[in-house]
Amino acid sequence: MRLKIHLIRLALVAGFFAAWEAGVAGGLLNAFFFGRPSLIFMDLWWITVSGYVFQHLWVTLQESLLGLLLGGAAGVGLAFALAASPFWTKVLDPILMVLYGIPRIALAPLFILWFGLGVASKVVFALVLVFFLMFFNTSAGLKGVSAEMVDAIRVMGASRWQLLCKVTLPAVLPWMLAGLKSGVGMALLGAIVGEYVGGNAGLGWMINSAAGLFETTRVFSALFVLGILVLVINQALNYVERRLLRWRPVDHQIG
Amino acid sequence: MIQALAVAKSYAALDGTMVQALGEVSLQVESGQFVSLVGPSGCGKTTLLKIIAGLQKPSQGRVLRDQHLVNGSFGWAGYLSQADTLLPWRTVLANAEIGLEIRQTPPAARRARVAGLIQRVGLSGFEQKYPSELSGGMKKRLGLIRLLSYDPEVLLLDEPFGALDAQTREFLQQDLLTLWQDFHKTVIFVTHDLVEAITLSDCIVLMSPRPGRIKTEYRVDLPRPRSLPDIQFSPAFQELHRQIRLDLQDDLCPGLAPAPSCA
Repeated sequence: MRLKIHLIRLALVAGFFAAWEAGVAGGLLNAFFFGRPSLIFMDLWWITVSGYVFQHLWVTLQESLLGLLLGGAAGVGLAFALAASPFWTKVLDPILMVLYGIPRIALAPLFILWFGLGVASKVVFALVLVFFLMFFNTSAGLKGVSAEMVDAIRVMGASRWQLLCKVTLPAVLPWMLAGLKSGVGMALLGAIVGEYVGGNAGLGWMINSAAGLFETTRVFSALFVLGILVLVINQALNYVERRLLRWRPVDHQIG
Repeated sequence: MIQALAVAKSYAALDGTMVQALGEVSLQVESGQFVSLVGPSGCGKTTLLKIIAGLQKPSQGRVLRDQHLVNGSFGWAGYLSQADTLLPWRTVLANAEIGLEIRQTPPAARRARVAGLIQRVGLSGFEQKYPSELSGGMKKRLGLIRLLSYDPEVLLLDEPFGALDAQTREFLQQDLLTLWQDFHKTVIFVTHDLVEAITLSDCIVLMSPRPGRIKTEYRVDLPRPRSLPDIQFSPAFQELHRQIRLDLQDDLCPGLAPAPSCA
């Protein structure tokens, strides 16, 4: 069954590239606009062996992972803090909604202005995108923690700290992991858009500068690398999730 | 000994009016006694239990444990409700140990204490399973030994077997009877099932609704140890059942006439 899934998946991807290649070879698609898989793979080979792609990959990876971790920590922290204080929840609720509602992509130019063209501005941008995701996810998880469960343990004589560590945190963990998983996409978006708007390195910058020179092949190469990056990070998070959430009843997840 | 002295509870309903859930209720439960609170829904039996547990504050009155004010102290009781409050991310073993873990009992001592209990309720071989892999009856058994493991003086049980099928329920009642016999706990047991209450209890406190009050207290003088289902067919059992049933009827349908409260 697993093998069958892998084979069909592989066949789909291979079929897509074959059709693309054939489309270009048959004159249906113009390689100048649409690229050509064979050329893209050659370009990928070249930027890999020359090491060119790694310096940009490293920059983007740094920006997005730092943004993910810092934004995630801030979101989780604020969610726990507000869960403990109904007063501050009331005070901050509309403010957070307004900040969340502003299309945060529009903030990118400001961050470039404030934090410069380097890594810092992209980290901050990714952080801001991830922050809300983690905050809302964790808050939803915290609201869902069964009061009956907490009460039963409280009657046993558990301290606040014990309740937090032994009940609340494990109960919210699946929500935080789900937030982290969708946060990966957000963090990459932040890093890439930041590099578009103003930067001098990274995969986003690579795409933007190649597109400016009409180097379609290079654009696709960079997208391909991004795809691999997302795949690797997601697999890593899936592994962590499976280890931490072993207790969950087995669902019929494919993969 | 647990005493509730003139305890009352009212709360603001959604429309702002004050609703009295519990009138002035006084209750005394001797150490080692098994007392059931029965009554129709809305009679405040769960509220009273939560106030005794310290999970809700009474609007007035106080709760004493051996003459001392309970006042927000925990750790002397165990609470089991109808809801599944096992920690789903912990194995059977880790769930059974949680109370001792909270007391910071060393792991070896925890294991030793819990092993016997797990065996007693037939969960041997399931130590490394998660609650999601257990049947409803097994979960409740685990819930019971999770309380017994840390040896609280009092068990506060709120319709613990309410969600189980009739068969499983009888098995658990028998388990509870023998566990109670061996561990000498004070038990306050909330139920709306009269048969269950008579089967298990030394004393039954019948409550009436709106606001919740104590209506009648019954002593259950059936011999112990009791075993199911024999005890339920004894004449003394059936007579007591009939008495309480008629007493309860007054509240459900006063005078048996179609009154508005009956609707």
